[in-house]
Amino acid sequence: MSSATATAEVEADHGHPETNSGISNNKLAMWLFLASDCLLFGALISTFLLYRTNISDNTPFSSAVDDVFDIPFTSLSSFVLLMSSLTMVLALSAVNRDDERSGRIWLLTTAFLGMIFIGGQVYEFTVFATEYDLGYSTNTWTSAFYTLTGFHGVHVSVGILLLLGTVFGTRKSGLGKEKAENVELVGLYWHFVDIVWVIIFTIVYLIPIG
Amino acid sequence: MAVTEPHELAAEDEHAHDHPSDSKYVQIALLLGFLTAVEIVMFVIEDSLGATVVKLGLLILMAVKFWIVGAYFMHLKFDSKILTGLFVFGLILAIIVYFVMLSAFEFSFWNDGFVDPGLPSSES
Repeated sequence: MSSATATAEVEADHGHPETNSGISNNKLAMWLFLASDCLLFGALISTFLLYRTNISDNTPFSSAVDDVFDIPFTSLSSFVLLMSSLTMVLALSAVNRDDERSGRIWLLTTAFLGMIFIGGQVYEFTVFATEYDLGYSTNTWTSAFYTLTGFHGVHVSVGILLLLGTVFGTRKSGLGKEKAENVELVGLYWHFVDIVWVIIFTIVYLIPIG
Repeated sequence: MAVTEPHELAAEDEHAHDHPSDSKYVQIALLLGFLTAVEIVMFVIEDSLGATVVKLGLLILMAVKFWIVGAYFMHLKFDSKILTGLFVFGLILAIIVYFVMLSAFEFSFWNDGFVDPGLPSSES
């Protein structure tokens, strides 16, 4: 058997060209990106933790900063994002089964749930700005908070674009089993965004100061 | 030192396709939802549990949720260990960043006599 034939067989079996590690280069690159993204969020979360009690005297509210959070509302947003991870794995599962229609529906559902989450974040920021007069530069806490949650929101938005790009970019070529790796890569990014929120929700919203 | 041969890694990758069924994914998502509910209950009854217990409990629940999503939804439990190693390496670096920042700030506060404006001054 020639090496070209063997390579083609491996590609057909695994959906990617043969590599020494058995992992596709695209998947390895995505994991490297996610590992590096841990550093970005690590720095942002660190900054927030260092500044969370650092509130200057010009803070327009006297009570603890935690009181501005609407925990029931944010909990609902967190639940929506968690469920979007479920719809994402169901999309990948459907594509792996070559069930294109279900794959597209689950991908669109995931994007829709992501949009709900972003809508919730926009609402939260608006309430902070209008009801509590908390701007980006009001104090170091607000700067750290908006930067951390804002960066996460940007990640979710990019994820939504990737999901929509996957659905609408494959209208002609189809979303069959051969595209499973593409869906898996988008899914990895989406789940990463989800686990970052798991940390943010606990550290920023739930853990009491002091 | 044992060296992993490429064909062994490739064989390991073949097991990567043994992913959970859809119903298993739904069960995992329900478990995640339940853990989130427990977190919120802990937050609500913080006064009766005590801040230390709540903090510890929330951090444990956070770690469990993180592991569940990583292991099952991101398939780390079923994929090559190389990927787990990569991700854990990134996480460890991120944790190191936190401690480096924390220590840098602390040393800076000590050296410059910095008073955290968020904390009441001992003289006032």
